Amino acid sequence: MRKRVDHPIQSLIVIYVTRFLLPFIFAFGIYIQTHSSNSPGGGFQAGVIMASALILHSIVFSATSTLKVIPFNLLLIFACLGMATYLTVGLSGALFGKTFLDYGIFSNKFIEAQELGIFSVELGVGFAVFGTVCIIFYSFVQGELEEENT
Amino acid sequence: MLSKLISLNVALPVLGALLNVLFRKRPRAAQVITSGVLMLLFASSVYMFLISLNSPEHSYSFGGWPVPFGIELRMNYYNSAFLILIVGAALCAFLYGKGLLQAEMRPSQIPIFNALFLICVFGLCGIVMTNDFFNLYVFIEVSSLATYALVSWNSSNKNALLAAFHYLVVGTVAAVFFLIGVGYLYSVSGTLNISEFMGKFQSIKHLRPVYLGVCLIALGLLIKSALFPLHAWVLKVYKETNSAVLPFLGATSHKIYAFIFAKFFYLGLFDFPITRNFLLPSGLLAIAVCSIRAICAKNLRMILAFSGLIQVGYVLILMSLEYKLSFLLIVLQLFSYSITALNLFMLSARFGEVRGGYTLARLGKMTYEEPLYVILFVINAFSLAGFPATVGFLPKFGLFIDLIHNGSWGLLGALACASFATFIYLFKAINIFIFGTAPSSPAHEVPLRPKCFVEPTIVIILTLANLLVGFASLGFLKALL
Amino acid sequence: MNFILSHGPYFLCLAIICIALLGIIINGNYLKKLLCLGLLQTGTIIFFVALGRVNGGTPPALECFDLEKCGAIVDPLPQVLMLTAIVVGLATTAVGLALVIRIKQNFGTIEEQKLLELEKD
Repeated sequence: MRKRVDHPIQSLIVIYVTRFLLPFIFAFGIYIQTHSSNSPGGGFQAGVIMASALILHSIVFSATSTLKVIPFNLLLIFACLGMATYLTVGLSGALFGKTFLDYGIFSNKFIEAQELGIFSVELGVGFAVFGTVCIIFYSFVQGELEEENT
Repeated sequence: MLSKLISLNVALPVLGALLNVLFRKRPRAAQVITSGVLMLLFASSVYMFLISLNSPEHSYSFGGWPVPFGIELRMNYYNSAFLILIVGAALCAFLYGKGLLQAEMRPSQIPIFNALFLICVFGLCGIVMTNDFFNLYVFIEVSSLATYALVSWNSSNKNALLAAFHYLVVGTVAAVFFLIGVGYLYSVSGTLNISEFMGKFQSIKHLRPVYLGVCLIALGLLIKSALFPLHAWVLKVYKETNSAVLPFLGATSHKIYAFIFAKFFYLGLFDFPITRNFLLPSGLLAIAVCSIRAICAKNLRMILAFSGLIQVGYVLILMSLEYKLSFLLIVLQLFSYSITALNLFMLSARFGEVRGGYTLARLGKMTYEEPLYVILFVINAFSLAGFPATVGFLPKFGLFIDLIHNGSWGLLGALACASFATFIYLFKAINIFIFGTAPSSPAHEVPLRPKCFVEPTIVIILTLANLLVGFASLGFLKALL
Repeated sequence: MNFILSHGPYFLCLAIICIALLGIIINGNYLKKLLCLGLLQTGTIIFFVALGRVNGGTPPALECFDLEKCGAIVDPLPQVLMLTAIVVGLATTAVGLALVIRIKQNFGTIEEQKLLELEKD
């Protein structure tokens, strides 16, 4: 077992409960993301929940250990990938002669096209929000991170 | 073709910002990407303007959803003129500010700055193009957030952070007022599309929620466009911000919101009895107070900031006149002011950099170091005051001709005094540049950054364009009369 | 009772917005100003969601696509608009907090009175 002296939070209960709950929080975020066209919630909400799982890990164990699991560059790539997905889906409508964010090109049946379009757009938004909220959090704790590394 | 260009205009700045974030370890690639994106945007907006001059209003709905269900962008001559203005100002300010940026911040921070800049351009382009109330709110917030971050970025001046925080609080409160107003209008009409709402407006005008909603929208837009009593944030922002950002802000920040306010007025949104009593006194008050404060100002940036606030007063006065070409005059006035202000802010950035400060006491005898820039400053000062043969002449001339036709000699006298005041405060500065005494204490321990060749080129090109358009308009007026 | 149900949310959001505006003006601490800014945005969100109320309406779920099943549905458009407004609020709070952190690092304080004195220098 890792030494507990370098964690910000020492309480055994918090550590064990967090370790138990983190996958469930993340899975809940993924659930909301995949059911974005059928139930309340969507890309933004799912992204924030997944980011909150990561932030919880950073609060209980230190931010440096979280960054070892998911490095900062990966978060940046997630954010850019999400935005690029959104732009690609949007522009693919514009390229084929219709307007931005036209989902009619995905399929001939109306409901299927809308579902596909909304799903891909929400996927992009989910990734982008996840990356962005985590980056915001890490920018805020940047000073503490530098203190820990020196 | 127009549809493809509009999608390009929507997607390209965001794509550019994305690429800048991805290339954050390679500042030179990021600069090339941003310049390329801005040039493409400028070319496409010029093309859109030329198309929209000849064709009727073009409507572009997102997702192909017809108008009551979807968000719509409109393209007509005044929207695309402002698009050219925003993108052109961004391009010129960006190219001019490259050297300033490299002196100001670490190379690793430049791609992030470019990304913020492009997001701000994206927000402002969306503001002028959209025809949907809530979409307007979203674009207002997007451009404002990028502007708060850009304003706060000043490594040599800590007060920029305080100015940015002040701007954030005031700007967010104004946007929230706008949003509550939109809520009231939606609750009565059931539609968020501006054109459809104006179709229903006459029949619901007498209801109190509509009146309240329109008042809140007007309040939000007036705070954002910095009308006289609500202008404190502009002064702080212009005083403390970065020199690389200031030309862009000086050309576009609160004048775009003044344009949106005028657009709503001419669509008929403010068709209440109180408007007639409100516009003229507020405009005159704004012009009077800001002219006096500009004359008394001791800081070059403050003088230019007050000149921007005076333009908002001019817009309100032009709105209060019932002239059929008023809207065209408003567009021309804002356009000409923005080109001139862009030039003046860029020149003042160089003056401040040479002397290490923007107070007039430090800027004496500027002709020693930058004689060409002082000459260009003089030409642009004439343009700001509305001298003939410059681009600032045509809107003022139109205004004066209309006032003479109507016989409102009092207003004519007041506006002539305002133009004279412009001469006074600008030539006070020019007097110090040419005949003042240089400060005895040296400003720099490190050697001064030499000018990149781009900077004088841009300012000379813009000033020459100014004079060219001015002469062309004089010829046009001679042909008319 | 019906009056409270139909007009209650509007009084609530009026109270929230007024308290938030008062808080922004009165508070000297920048962090508290940001809190009240967030509260202002929350009040606006409640206002918009309350606008969509329909007498006897049910939540706008997918089964209610054919109206015979559910009767009247609450207007979903303000709720969707407020999702975007929440995102905007998040971004504003993030930028504001970043500015407050930087102000604290550079000036050492986030009290308005002390900052006004420090700014003059």
